[in-house]
Amino acid sequence: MQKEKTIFLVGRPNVGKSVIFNQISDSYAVVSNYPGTTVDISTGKFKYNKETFTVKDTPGAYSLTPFSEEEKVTVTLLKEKGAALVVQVVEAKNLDKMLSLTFQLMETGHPLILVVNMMDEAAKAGLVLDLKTLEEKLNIPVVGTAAARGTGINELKKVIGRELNAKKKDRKKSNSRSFTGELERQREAKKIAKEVMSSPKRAEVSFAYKLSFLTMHPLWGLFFLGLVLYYGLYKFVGVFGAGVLVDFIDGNLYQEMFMPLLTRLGQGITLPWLKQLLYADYGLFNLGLRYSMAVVLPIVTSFFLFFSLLEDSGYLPRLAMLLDKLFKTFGLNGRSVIPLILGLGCGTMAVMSTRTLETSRERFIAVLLLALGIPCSAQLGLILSILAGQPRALAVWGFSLVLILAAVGFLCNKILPGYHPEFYMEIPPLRLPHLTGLLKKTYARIKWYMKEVFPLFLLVSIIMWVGNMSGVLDRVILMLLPPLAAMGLPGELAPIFILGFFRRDYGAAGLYDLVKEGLLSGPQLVVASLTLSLFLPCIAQFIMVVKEQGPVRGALILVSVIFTAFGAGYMVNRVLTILPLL
Amino acid sequence: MRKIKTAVPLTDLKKGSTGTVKEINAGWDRKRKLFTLGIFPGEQVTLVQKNPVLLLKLGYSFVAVDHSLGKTIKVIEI
Repeated sequence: MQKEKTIFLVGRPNVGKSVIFNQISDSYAVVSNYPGTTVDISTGKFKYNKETFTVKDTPGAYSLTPFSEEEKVTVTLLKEKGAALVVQVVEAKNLDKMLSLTFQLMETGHPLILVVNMMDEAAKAGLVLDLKTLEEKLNIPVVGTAAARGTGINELKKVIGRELNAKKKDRKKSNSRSFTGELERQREAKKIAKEVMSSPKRAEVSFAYKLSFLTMHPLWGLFFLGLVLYYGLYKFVGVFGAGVLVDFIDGNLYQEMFMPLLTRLGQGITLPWLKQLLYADYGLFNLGLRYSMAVVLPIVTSFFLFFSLLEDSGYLPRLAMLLDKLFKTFGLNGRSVIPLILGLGCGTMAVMSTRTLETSRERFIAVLLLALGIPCSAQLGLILSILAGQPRALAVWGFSLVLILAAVGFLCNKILPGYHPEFYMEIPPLRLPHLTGLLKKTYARIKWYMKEVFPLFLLVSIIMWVGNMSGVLDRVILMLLPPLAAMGLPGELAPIFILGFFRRDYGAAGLYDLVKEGLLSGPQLVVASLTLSLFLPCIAQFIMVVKEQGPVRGALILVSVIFTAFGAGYMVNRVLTILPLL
Repeated sequence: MRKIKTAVPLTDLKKGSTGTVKEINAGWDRKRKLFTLGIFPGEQVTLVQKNPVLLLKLGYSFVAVDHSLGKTIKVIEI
């Protein structure tokens, strides 16, 4: 029986394995300028001369002695003898630090190709690499590429094909040696790198290089962060995505053109229950389809585009180091920047990404903060547009939200046992993202969102319909009236809070409608927005919380979120009746 | 008399100065974190920035470590 021929891509994090994977295979793996994007194995097909091989993209590994869970994946894979060929990807500039893994791979005896990637960046840094000498020294095939630009990919494909078809005896025998330890390997790696690298030219000091320091500066960095948040999050996602785009798609397209069409089509329906299901206020057409496609989708799409830009430019690690000290007061560290920022887009995706955090203490705190007070982009967009005309209300809302988040984080840090993990991170160079890469990644995320979240939107409509028809909804609404009255809020908000549990942004969208009808006063608006921001995460996020944290901690998070939300609403209402802030 | 340079914690270096890593005074768990960043004995590091965390230049790459981890790295200034 012929064994399936598998090619493995291995190498340190952030050297471009996934970029190369996407170019030589028919599949797509998410890439970014952030170490550790790939946490699982992606599999694709590589075609050469009508023959098909399997390619596997592996999480970044620094060494064959595994340190982290991600690295274990790679090492275990290599130990299973499935590999017909191992392709190690290294970054040209940092060749000296990466050859030690090459030696280890040579010792395993698998056929090996070395890809020296990012040759263009090395050239910019004034470096010349003699790949021919490197090939002779190691006695394995060496290919230079600038994969993000597509340079050298065809050559690489040819070499891979040649090596796969080579008979064992024809293959070059690698200059494998055994080393006594990692230090010795490092020393040899440095020696070889020195022999093949030279820097006859002075490095160009590029704009990106200068900008890089600006973004990391303790003072200017914060200023730059302010610009990113203002133009990226507020102007692009908030004003453009949640404002202009939603107004056009929801207002001009859906409500004015699509809905009348649906209504006309539905005139023939005589069954009252079906009419209810489709056309009632919480029905499929008014709630499920409209909110998901016309309101939430444009907002989430603009957020994902913004987030992809942050990722691919290499800005996120800089943000991580800037915010490290602040996050430490909440029992987190700079590494949590990814889940927390992602939470401003989609809380469900963010909870999933807490997996990359080091300790279970950090994971718990991050999940709690995400569930409590990090509003997702759909919700944030809507709340911003509701409060937009009233800067004071917006300020009170923002201040209270930040205060509560900080207080909860601070308390968690004081109460929960455990230690602070240290912050350490590689800072990749700032890079100008490629448009196709950005679009591809945004598309992949939207696809995930539609697959995971869209069915829930429809489900919510159906649940609300069942609740309405059976009278359960009325009873739940009655139960909510006393706490609402305690917060000084009208009873019309009760169904909105229930909606808020199914989708946080639904709640916000319902609020949006009430405001348009002019049913809320200034203080009521603030209290309602704040309580909704703090209120339960959507059902999708809640399911993910239970999946990541287990039922006990999940329930704990649920209960504390409910109490904090209503408690905060009550307090703010009291404060606003005493202090004439609005 | 020639001054013999002793190893000092990385956090004691001045901003902009370069040192050679002498040893890492930490348990295996912390050591491995630094190893993954390429911080080994014998390696040269330049302290580019001290706040809010330490920013180091190693060859052509940059890495950030916080102060508590930086204290464990003993360097000899050059």
